[in-house]
Amino acid sequence: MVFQLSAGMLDACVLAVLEKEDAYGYILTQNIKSVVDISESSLYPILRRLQSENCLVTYDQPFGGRNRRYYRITDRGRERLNYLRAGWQEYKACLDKILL
Amino acid sequence: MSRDEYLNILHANLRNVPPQEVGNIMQYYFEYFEEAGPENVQKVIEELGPPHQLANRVSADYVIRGMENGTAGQGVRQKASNAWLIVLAICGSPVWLPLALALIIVIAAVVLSIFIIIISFSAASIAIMVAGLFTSGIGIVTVFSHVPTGIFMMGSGLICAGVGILIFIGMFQLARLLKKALFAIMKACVRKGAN
Repeated sequence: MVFQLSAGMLDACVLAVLEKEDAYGYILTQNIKSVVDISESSLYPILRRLQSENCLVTYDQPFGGRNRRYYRITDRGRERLNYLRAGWQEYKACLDKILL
Repeated sequence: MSRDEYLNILHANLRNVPPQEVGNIMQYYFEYFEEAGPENVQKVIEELGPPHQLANRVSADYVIRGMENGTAGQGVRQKASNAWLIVLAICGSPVWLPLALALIIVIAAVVLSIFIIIISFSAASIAIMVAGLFTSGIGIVTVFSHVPTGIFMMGSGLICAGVGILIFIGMFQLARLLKKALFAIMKACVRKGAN
């Protein structure tokens, strides 16, 4: 990718994936990586921060003898996502004015 | 490096992370390896980066959040080690050498000049205060020999002292601003470096 994702955009990506359905760490990372080029080492801090801001919650579910920790978006998370989406539209519109 | 070696180094290098959080972190990355499968261990290690670097990255995030939540009541030593953690996180990120060196030199130069200005103004303001008080003191004595001069000296002396105090207080606030700005810059460095 030519441009770097800002931290706010990464929050939005994570929340958007979780809005569709709950996911566990590994699959969440793979989903996001399939679309944007991110550094895996940044994902855990983002998840932890969103959790501390009550934008998502975690729950454990056993799977084939091991444990999976799932992340689920909260209502506050949905609010945050919509806020970020609006911000993204605005950002896109402003840049398009200059670039296109 | 084996998965267990990686996880052990990661665990050992988590500094200044609350104990209950260490468990969460280790569980996350343990599960990550599990999901990827034993055949992908090296691929995961490559993606996550060196374990001490990952540890720095994760630790620094807690420090930053701690600062944002205003961990007042931390001792000076805790704040100093927070500062070092941030420096360490910058060092842990990939393109650290040119970025950190350039940034550190520029920031240090600016900070030093502002600091020198603060010190010299503070010193000057103290001198002004003292001179002012001294003059008003002499003014009090002069009142007994020549009233108008005496009153004039008292008045101007007190004005001087007042100005000096104001400058001194101003410098104090400037110093606090400088400290806040410095922390904000360091946080920004870690965010940029880590992304």
